[in-house]
Amino acid sequence: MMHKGFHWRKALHYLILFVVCGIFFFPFIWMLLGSLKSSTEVMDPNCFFPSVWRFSNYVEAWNYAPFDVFFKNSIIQSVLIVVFQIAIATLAGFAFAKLDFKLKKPLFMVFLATMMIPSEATIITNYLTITRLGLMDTTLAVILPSLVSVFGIFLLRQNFMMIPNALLESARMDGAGDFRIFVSICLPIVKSAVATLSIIGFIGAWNSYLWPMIVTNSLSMKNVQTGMRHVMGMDESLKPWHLLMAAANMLIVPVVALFLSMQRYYVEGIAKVGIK
Amino acid sequence: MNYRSRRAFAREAKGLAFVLPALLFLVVFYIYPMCFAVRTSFFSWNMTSAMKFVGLRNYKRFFSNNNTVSALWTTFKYVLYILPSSLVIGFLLALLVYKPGKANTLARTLVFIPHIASIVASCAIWTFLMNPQYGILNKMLNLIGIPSVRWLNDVKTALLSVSFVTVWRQVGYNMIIFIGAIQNVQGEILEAARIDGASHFQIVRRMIIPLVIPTAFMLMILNTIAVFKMFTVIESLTEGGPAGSTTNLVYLIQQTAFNDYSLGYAFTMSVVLFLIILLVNIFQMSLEKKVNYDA
Repeated sequence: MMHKGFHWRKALHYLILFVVCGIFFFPFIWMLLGSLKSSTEVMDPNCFFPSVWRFSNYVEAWNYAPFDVFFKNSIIQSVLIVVFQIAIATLAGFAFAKLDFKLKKPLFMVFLATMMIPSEATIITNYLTITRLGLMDTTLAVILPSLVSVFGIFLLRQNFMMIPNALLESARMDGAGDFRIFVSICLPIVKSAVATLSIIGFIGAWNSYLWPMIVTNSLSMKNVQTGMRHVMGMDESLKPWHLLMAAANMLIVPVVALFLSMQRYYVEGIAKVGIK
Repeated sequence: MNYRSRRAFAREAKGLAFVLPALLFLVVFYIYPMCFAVRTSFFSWNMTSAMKFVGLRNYKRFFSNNNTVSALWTTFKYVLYILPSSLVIGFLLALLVYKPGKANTLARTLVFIPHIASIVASCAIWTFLMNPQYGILNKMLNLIGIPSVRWLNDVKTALLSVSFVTVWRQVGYNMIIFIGAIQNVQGEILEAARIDGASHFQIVRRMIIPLVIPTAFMLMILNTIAVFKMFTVIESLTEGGPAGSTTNLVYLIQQTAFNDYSLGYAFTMSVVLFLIILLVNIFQMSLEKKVNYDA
């Protein structure tokens, strides 16, 4: 009796899970199906499955706009942003955790305060700065304001603080300088925090839209987000939805794959923000 | 003495050297721009003309102009529509899947994916789903006897539709954070309660809810700020329309600066945005201690 009730509960749990996941994931399923339909089938809401699975839609979508250029730009921008974010955040995080200097506290307060400045309120000035530097429509323009991640600095600082001071003292006794200690002792210990920052930084950079939109205008400088937005506006009257769905899928899959492979680090990172 | 101060100086220089790259970027791309925005908000300026000091005129204009007041109002309406639903649904989903197990883990991942999927691509999908003629959403509504809705094209539904897509993107994030909080509570305490014969509902009401309140509070702040800063979803779904009904402050800042080129005025809006977010932050800091102690 008891046993049977237990199973019913489990079945109900699975049923609810199935419905919830179905609702949340339905847009992606509809995208996937749409991306494999013909141009007429995709416009017919009564047609659920394509009569022929047209994988050639993906080739056609790839050639519908210069997606090779968009992807190249996105990859270059995101990788550069992540590399700089890690370099800058590990240096600053280490200083705030392990070095002793008078300006440490006031500077840390300044860093904390900048977290309250919304980047949306700084875009106009940054646009003027980029124009004045003659960098409009360049990769540098896209990446410059994102090279420092205050979140990353705090994350790394937290992790550096967990390293016992005795370890650093003994290295100092052996005559190692602070930079040596930083590179060869501390950095290897905070590997997982670096992984966390890189996955969060990469996804953030890959999905950023407002700033790249403002500082790039030529088609050859667009990344996947601004490029996709451009593609969405191309045929105003009759949109080739089967190609647009294929393109949407091409944008989503790489990031989801990356996320799945580093899910643990990503979730660790956002949980840190959460639980503090 | 000299040796000592020189050593102190070297220590200071070393610390600064490590922090310098970060500081440099923060000053150039955050601190200076914010100061410049505050200063310029008191000037009339459209890039080609010389800056002219106008005192509070931009601010007076801000609060008397229909466009800005309605964008400000819309900004708050987004919070009203998005915040409660994304928190409540996030919490309920967390209760559903916080226990370990393959099915729960898979469900967590599936619900979280909208949060990391490209916003522009996701909005392309939603534009397609919400198309009044050939969208599947209307087809589903028709099946259960509800007439078609013009989702993003109707002043009455556009704001709700944009909010809906944002909730879809945000719920997974809230769920993950809530799961972390519940798992902190969990373990022996819950086990003990269960042995004492507490029902599932009692456990949730008496133990889980009180203990995740600090987390819920923090999520409330994070979500509010995120909603205040919404841009891409609006730009991709409605471009602020129809009839400006989905235009929030960030969208209007961008329009005023890069379409109308009235920079002084756009800076004024940026400062208002900054002040609103600052208020939320101050609110958080003043309540944080209290909530943490209560919990």
